[in-house]
Amino acid sequence: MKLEVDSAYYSVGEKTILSGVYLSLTTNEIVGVLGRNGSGKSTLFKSMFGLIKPDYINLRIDGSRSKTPSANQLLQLLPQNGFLFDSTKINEVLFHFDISVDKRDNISKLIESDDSVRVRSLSIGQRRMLEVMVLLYSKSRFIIFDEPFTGLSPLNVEIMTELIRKESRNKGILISDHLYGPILELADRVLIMEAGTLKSIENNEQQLVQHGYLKYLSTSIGFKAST
Amino acid sequence: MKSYPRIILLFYKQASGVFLGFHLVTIYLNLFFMPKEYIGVLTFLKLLQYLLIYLYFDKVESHRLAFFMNLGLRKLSLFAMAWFLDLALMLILLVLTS
Repeated sequence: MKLEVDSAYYSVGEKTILSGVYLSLTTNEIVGVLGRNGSGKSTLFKSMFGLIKPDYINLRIDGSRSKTPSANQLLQLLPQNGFLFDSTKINEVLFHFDISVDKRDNISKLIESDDSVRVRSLSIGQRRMLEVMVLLYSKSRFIIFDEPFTGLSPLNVEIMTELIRKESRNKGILISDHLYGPILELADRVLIMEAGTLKSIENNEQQLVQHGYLKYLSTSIGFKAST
Repeated sequence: MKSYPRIILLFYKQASGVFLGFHLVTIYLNLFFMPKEYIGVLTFLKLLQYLLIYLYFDKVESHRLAFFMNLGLRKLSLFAMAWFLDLALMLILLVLTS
C-alpha cells in the first residue's frame, strides 16, 4: 500500500510554511524527516492527518485521491503534544484502540505500570511510550510519529527504536525527532525539510552538516551518534 | 471492537470539562424552567456551545482531537454525534418535566 502527499501548500499571512511538498510512503518502510525548529515538519504531519486545513493538499492512497486517510484508522498521528487525555484510564485507552491481551501485557511491562491507573499518573516518558505503543499495536497501515522520543531516557529510546523497527513490517512509518541518531538508525530513507520543501538526503551525518541541520559531525566533538 | 457510545461519552466528558459553564446553564434551564417555552433558546445555546467547543478544539487544542481521529472518527461526525446525543437528552428531560 502506498500513501502519497502531493503539492502540500500552507502559509500564515505572508509566511510560507509548506511550498509544494511531495512525499511518498509505502507499508514496510520507515521514512525519517529531519529539519530545524519551525521548518514545517509538524505542519506537514497535521495537514496530512487532517488536524489542520492546509491551503492545498493532494493525498493519494495507491494512486486514488483520499480526502481523509485518517478515517477507518488507515493513518494515525502521534502529535508533538501527545493525544491521550489525563483523566482516561490506561485500560480504557487499550480498549478503545482494540489492543490484544498479549500486547497489553507487553505495554504494562514496558511502561512499568498497572493498566488500571489514569494517564495523568504516568511520567512524561511513560506516557510517551504508551502513546507510541498504542499506535504501533493498533490496526492502522500508516503512522506518523512527531517526536516520539521526547522525554524518554536513553534506555527507553533504544527499546522504542527496536519496537518501531519490529512493528514496521506491516506499516509505513513517517518519523521525525530532534534526536537524530535513532532516526538515522531506523529510517530506510531520510528527508530534510528546508524552505518549505522536502529534500532527499543520504542517511548519514555528513549530509546533515552539509544541509545546515548540524554544525559539526558528532565524532569531531567527541561523541558518536548511534548510527 | 470500537464502542461508539463509550467514545462519545469520553468526548462528552472532555467537551464538558472545557465548557462546563455552558453545560450548567443549559442543564439549569432544562431542569427548572419547564423548558417548553425555552426549547428554541436551549437549542440555540446548545448549537452555540458545540460551535465554541469545535472552534476551541480545532484552533486552540487540535491535538486533543487526535485521540478521536486516531480511532478512525471524522471531526465533524464526532461533533454531530455528540450534539445529537445532547439534544436527545434534552428532549427526554423536556418530556419528563412537562
